[in-house]
Amino acid sequence: MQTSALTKRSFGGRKNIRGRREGATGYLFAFPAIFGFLLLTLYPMATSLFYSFNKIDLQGNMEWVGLQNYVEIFSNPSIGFLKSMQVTILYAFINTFLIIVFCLVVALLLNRKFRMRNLLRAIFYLPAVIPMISTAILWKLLLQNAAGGGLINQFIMKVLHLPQLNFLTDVRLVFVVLFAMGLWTCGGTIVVLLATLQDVPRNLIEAVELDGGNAWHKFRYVTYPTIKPVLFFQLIMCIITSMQVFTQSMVLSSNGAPNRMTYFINIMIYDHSFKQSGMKGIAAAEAWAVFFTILIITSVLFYFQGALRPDSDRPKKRRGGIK
Amino acid sequence: MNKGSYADNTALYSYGKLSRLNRRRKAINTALIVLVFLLAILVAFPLYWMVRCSLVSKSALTVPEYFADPPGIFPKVIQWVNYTLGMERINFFQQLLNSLIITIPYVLGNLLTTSVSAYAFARIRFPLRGMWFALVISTMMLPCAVTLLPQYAMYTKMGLVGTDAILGGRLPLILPALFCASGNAYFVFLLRQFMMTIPVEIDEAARIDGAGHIRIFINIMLPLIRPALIVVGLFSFINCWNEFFYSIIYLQGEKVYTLTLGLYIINGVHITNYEQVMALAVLVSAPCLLLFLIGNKYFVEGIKLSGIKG
Amino acid sequence: MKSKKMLALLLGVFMLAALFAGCGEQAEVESTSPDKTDGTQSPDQEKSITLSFVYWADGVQKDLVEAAVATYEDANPNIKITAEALPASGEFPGIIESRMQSNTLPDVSYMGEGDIMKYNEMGILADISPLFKGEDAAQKLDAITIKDSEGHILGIGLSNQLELLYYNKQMFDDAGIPYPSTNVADAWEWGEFVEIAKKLTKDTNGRNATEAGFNPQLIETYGLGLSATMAFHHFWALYSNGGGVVSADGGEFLWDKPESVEAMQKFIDLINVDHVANAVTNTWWTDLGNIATVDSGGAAMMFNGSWDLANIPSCSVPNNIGVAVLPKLKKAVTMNCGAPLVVYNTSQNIDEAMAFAKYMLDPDNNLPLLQSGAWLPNDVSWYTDEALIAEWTANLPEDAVATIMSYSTTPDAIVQWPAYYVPAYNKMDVAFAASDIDKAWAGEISAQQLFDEIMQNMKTLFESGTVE
Repeated sequence: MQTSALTKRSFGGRKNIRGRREGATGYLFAFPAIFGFLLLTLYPMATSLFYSFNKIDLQGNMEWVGLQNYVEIFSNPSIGFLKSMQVTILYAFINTFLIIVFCLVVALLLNRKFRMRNLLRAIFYLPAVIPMISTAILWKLLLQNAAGGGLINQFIMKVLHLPQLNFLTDVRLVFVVLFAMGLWTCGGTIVVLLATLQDVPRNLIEAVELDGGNAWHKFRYVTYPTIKPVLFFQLIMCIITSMQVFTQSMVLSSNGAPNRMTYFINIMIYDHSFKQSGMKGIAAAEAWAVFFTILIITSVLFYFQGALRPDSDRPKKRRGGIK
Repeated sequence: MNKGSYADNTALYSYGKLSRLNRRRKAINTALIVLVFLLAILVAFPLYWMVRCSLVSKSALTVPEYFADPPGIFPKVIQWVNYTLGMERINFFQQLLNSLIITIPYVLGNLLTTSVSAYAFARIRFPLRGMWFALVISTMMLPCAVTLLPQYAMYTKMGLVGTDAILGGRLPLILPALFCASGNAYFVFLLRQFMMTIPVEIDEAARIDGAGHIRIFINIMLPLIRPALIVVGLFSFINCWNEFFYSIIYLQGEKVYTLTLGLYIINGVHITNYEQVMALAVLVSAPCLLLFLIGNKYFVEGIKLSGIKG
Repeated sequence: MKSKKMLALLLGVFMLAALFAGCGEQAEVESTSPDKTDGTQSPDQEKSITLSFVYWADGVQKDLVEAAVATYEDANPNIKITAEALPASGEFPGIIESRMQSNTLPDVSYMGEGDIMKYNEMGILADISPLFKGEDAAQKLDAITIKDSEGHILGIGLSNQLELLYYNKQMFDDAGIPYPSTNVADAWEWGEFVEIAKKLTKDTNGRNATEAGFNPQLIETYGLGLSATMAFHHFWALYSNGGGVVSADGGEFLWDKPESVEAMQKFIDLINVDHVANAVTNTWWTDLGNIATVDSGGAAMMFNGSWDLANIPSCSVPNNIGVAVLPKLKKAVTMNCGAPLVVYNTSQNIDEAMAFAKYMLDPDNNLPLLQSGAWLPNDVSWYTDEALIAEWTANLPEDAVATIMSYSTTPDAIVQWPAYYVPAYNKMDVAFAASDIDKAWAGEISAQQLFDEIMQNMKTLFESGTVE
């Protein structure tokens, strides 16, 4: 909290009027954010909670059904909610894990002085600015069957003489397509980690070296603790973003094929809200169930992070603790 | 690799051992650099492929002969006509215009509102400031699906949806930028962090001269946070240009489609002509790539600013 | 900043109003209120009338539809038509529903075959039977006429489209195999078809599927390229075997008959047992799409709708795509589809809308589309009158014309897609897509297992007889 003696004194003198004017100005300036929160977040959240307790038919008429929507999404398999949650959570966790590991490795590799390092950094970041839809179209083409012009399969079959892999139709392999896209576009995380690595105190690294430590010790005792907060933040954001995957799945097959393996929650909610009829109440219930799941996941993660690092000097993002 | 420490250690190591250690370190270092170059090539290759596929003829696109002799990976004949044909198939310029009509107000709105809000959270003391800030930031983590339906209903009620509505129904895509919603809270956070690194004494000096918050904001703060503003602008542009989920919901007539939506549609039609689809994919990515190349250092700055602090 | 705050204030007022409205018992979501005008830009009915027409098409089709619309506008100077092309049919329901909510339903539009019943239940479709009554009214094919339970015509297919067999002539020549027949009477038996497909399936070592040492894991070119498998793309096989989905009169549920299961299994076996087709899932398209793969030699044959005829001229190898009748299991049949045109009863200018609909439904006014092969005529006389036939088949490959005529003139050779006449079709479709059908396609479960799992439910859905 930045105050100076001067401000304190001027506040102390005519506190009420100044304070009130200050308060009003504050609200004026913060109006877009606060009003945005109320209008575009809080109000819709409350309304969608209300929707989730109703059955909404084609014309938009509402009928209060209490918790029935929630019961139905958990018990009726043809709605696909449980399957959707399953594949989404599975995808989100594996994707995040792969991305964090990959980005960390690349960042560590790039964290040396050599010529063209900035060029390489640019190359790694470049795919992140391309619209996801171009990425999805590109990777769908790359991972096609050999007969359909897929380069990777052609390589596998012609050069490696191995059976080709049906990336797009095999339930076990379709995630590979998604992971490929995720890893390809994670340039932002690489740049963040790289920048953070440059904050690692050199003297501590040298101290480890003096004590006879190797690269692993350097990493474990100096580098890792320094970048841990940033890594954690990236992890959380990556999980949340991964759970909202939409574009890639729409391009691959808008109905979640194969076998609903790509029927992620955003696709499901979009499907139920806009494509099918009379399922808007159910879509709202699903959205809230998803929200709670994300809350639980992030709370668990925050708890573990807090427990492992009790002296964390970073305030938590969500409630209180703001400087 | 700090040479200084080696010099300090010569007393502890014999010269031979030192140079062996040195050489081994250098070898590992080189190997790792080679590794990262290889990774970079792997990452760059799909970009090449996208461009290559946009420039080949239809049969070269699907004929199963990439590894024949000579390898089909490189286009034999470059067909620029794919680009023109592709642009004819969709209303390219119309869609480009639509993308711009949405993106430019979005970026400007974002710059304005996030900077104003960030200033409030950083510099002005008002009651419940901490709570509001936490709430606004927490919207970053909200899955967009939760607010989807009611927002749609609300906009429809206000008459903002549909091709006959104001601005052809594009307004719901621009509004989040005006209200720091839909993930734009991120920029509020970013700018606030940046503002907090600017010494309060500067504000004090201005205040002594009789300036109120508005003056301070316009004349002092804004110029000082220019780099961060550029970052917000760049990232807003890219986010808005690439927006797909909301586009597919709110843009309901051909005359308001953006480029990303146009690309999605062209991907799914009966007569695919994939080489034209790839050409369009390249075109749609081009503005962002150009921005990136021009503003490369700002991007990196921006990511550093955002990522490090928290 | 000031004007922005003004806007914000206005929105705030709106929001408060919305809150008040929404807190009550009434509907939060817009409902159709017929008193709002839609599509009409000028209230003066004598001067110019604007009709709103929504359709889906791309590329060539779009140009042709636009040309047809322009011709109509020229012929009727007081009518202006705002024609909007939508993304392909998948997004259509969502768009129509949001238009319903914002009261901007078009006057005339395409509609998904399976959606007509649904929207009819919502009460927004007009009865267009009057267009086809009377002495000189055109006689439309029954196969593409959609009626409600009282016999009112709700929609007529703009085109009749059939599932056909496409093949790469060069590959047949190289293998020394005679081309498939264009005559329904001479359609290949299924076993014959599989044998031929095997001869045309090659692995990277150059062996085809009939030879020893053939490695199904290393298939380089497929005998049969499968792209779209949804709905009618495989339903025809069920009917061909004596089974089906629902009987033609809409009364009997056929999907759980042993003949249907057997046909499904044989179709799926093409991938996993005979190894002549590529892996697929239950979708409209899996790969780059359609005859591009046949054109490039990735597959020797393909099943696809007749709309692909329009793609033949743009293939990279000229005159290399042949068209023939589908193979048969027991009986040679094909299935039709063809998006219908509907008129909305919320239209402010319903007479003009109906007139325009009649115009668009007349094959005379869509000649370029017919000649390209994208559409087949929906009118009986165009299949029987020599002069008319010559007109629309002028630019089509001979074998395609022969195949189409053969199907059209052989009784019972064209099976109507159940979406046209089964009210519960959409429900059944959704349930089917949500089932383990993809596992069946992958060969993990047999068709029998799949059908045992789901057919009970399907039958219940069918018997409900309603859309919702």
